[in-house]
Amino acid sequence: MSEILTPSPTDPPPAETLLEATSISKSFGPVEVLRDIGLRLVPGEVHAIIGENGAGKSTLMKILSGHLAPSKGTLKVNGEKTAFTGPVDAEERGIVLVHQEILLAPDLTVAQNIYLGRELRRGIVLDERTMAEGAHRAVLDLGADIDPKTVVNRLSIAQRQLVQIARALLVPHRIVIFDEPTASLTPVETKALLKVIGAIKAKNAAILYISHRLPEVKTIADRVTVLRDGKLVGTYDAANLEPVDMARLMVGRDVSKLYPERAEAKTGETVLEVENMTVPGFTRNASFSLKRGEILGFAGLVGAGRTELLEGIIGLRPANGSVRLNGNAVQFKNSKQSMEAGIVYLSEDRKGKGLLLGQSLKINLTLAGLDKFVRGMLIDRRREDQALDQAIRDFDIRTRNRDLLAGQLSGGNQQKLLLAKMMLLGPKVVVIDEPTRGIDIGTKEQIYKFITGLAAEGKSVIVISSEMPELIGICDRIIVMRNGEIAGEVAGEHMTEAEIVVLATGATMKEAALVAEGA
Amino acid sequence: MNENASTGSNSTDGARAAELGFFARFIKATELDTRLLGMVLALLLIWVTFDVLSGGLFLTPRNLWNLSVQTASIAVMATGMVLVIVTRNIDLSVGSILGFVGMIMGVAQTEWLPPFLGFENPATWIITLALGIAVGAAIGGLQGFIIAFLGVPSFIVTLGGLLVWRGAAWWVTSGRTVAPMDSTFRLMGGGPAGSIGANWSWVVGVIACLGIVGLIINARRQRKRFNFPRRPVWAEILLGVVGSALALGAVAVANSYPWPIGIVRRYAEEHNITMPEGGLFIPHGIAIPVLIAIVVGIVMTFVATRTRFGRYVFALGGNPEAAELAGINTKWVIMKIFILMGILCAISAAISTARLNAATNAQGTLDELLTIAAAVIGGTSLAGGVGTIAGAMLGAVMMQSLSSGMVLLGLDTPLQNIVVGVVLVIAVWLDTIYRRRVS
Repeated sequence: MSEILTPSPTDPPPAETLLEATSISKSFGPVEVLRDIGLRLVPGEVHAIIGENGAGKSTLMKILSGHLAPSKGTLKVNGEKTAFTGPVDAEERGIVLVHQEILLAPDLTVAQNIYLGRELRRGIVLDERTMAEGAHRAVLDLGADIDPKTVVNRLSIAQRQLVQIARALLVPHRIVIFDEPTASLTPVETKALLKVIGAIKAKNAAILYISHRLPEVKTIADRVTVLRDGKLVGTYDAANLEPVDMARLMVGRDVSKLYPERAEAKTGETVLEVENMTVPGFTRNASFSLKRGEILGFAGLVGAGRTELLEGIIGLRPANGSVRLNGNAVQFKNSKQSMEAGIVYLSEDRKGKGLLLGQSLKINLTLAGLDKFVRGMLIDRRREDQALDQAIRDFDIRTRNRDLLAGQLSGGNQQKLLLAKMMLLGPKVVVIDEPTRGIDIGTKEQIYKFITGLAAEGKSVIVISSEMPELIGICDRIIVMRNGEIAGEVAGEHMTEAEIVVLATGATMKEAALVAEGA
Repeated sequence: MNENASTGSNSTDGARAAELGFFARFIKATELDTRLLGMVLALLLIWVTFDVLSGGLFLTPRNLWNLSVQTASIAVMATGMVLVIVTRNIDLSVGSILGFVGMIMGVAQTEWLPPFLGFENPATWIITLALGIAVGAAIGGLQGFIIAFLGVPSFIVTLGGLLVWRGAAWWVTSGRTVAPMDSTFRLMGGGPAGSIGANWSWVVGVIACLGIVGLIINARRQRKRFNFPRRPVWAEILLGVVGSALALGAVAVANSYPWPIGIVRRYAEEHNITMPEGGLFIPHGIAIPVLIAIVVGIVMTFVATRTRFGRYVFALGGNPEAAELAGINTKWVIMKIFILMGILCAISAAISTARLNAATNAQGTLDELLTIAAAVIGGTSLAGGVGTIAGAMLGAVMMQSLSSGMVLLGLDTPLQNIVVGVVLVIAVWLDTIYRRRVS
């Protein structure tokens, strides 16, 4: 690693301060989550907040948006000392927060969600048409053409995220706080969102922006504030800060090698062969194969049908087509059958479909492989405890207490727990959907090591991801999907963001290069 | 969201312990479930209040013994209702199933079996009970199949069941009450004959004490093996002593309730005992239905916490999608829960028919509401995933204490209903506050 320049902290002239936070601290019981944080926002700036999971970013955002009250410290809005009574109070002062989690009513339409709580009326009846138009305009502004009459639970996670952003931006705003808005977005959608942020900025509002994607931060931010372990590391001019510097400041050590070094892949015989797979409504005639010890990536825009294709193969969705596992024709009706055959699937929706958030780590760990822990009629709790010990060691699950609930772990540790749970089944093929979504850079590095480790053990891995650098960093081959079909495959030196974008969007190479550069 | 989860460390845990007050330190050391402890305190409060209001009539061996017998039937069904509610379902039909199965068992021992076995055959009770359990399981299986595999919501299926099985109970005998029951069968209902007497009660008490101590020692050994934090020794001893004292105390109470004088006299005549001066003191001891309920409670706790089926039930209740993705056959689990519920209804039906010494058409009416209330007061969350068998049984004792206390005070039935309704809502409201505090 060459020498890294140590950037010096920056502070713009206090000409016109929209929001000023001084000496903010926050404790939950005896645990201090934030200590002595100072932050200033000026009109027309994009101010990024970066830090590892647990650094206190989300807590800080919740304080700035009125969801939490600080334990100590003061907030000034437009130079006036303020204590928010709640998020509505903050909104009335022009501060809106776009949440990281998706908080929409799944059975209402896009328009109903966007106007929820602030419905337009004509007399005593709802003015459905104006709301539908307004909602459509709001999502179009974000570069997404979603029918406002669609029910939200029919949308993909990325589309829901956009609806949520549209909903937040409907409020008159001076400060917009984005808590990892692009975590579930593909490059093209991210690009559109960044454009929207540019537009907000042009109106002289300020944007606070949390993201784990450092190159994105570099592109978009004017200033960057780094938090580590609840403390302020500093605020820097983005122009002087390269992504690698950001990572170093966040972690407090050098992290230039995110992706593990891989020995030349020793792939063996074909393990999985899929032919003409059609998942009605999602994919058409997809064919591919997977070898032993191989890491195969699936890239594509959100809605391209990547997740649905794999769900169809393992029996989570009705599908037609032929699947051969080790040369034998198989057809799975549910995930139990595919698991028994040796294919495990880690959902992209860790909280919704992966874990029992209200149950202990042990119960989560052994759930899928419980048969192995049953002796006679009873569960052998001793062996369960041993398995948990082993998992905590092998997967470096960081927990201060073994009796914690799964929901109390950080995102990265939840992902490790899920990995441990599935590895108990001794699978031959591992399918991981968005393995590092919402996970900090230190843990990402670990997850990549686990994935490449699996391949080295002779397991075959399929990684579905919207983060192209991640696919390029760990995969042997990448299949790119577009509109429910396999658009092509890249391997070796062709594994570049530009080539993937060409296949994913059908754009020309030149357009693709522009997009790839932005994201 | 949970950013603070990973930042804590052992040192902060230690620091926290030092700041705690006496009560909190006590709870931490004994690892008692504060919610359960709260329920026990509330129950004691109810008992003392009734005792004071009734001028000392409530906390008598006689009343407590009767209370235990009256609770048995609801307590048995409440253990199954926990599993039903944990999986985000409901069963409104349990009272009607009880009525129907009770009627089947009544008719079986008075009309169907006698032509083959004669009356008072020693095999009658077991055949009757087996038949009842089979019918209960079949009804539960049918309802469970419709709910799990045909996808009709449990609320609707069991609402239908509420009407269907009540109607069917009438149909069996065209509304006629069936009596009397086989004398062996009647033992399941309690009464002087249906209690195990003083000596056997002490045996049960001692077994309970040994069980409590054994569990504590075993748990400690397990923790030591894995280097988990152990409870301080004083806390272990305290738990053992208090648990044993409760068990033996309950036995002592059951043993201080004597047989009524008339029955004693008849017993004395039959056994050629001359009645001594001042009468003969023959204690009841623990009633057989109470023993049945306790055994059911222990078995169901085992099923819920130690078997794969129980684990799947709670997984399913906590997150159905994750459970399905983990390869659990969720439909089959749901169906099994309803079969189990049907079996428990049959056991309750046996208890209540035996106690009444008759099978009537209206038997078990409104029991579904008492059972659901017991489970909910006992901490079962209607949102799914949370609930304990012990809590539900305690909830049943609470419901029964309220109604029998009010009977003792001579309150009118309408007023009793009002009080029970209000208490149910308040109890769940307090529970909501408690849960919010805890999380």
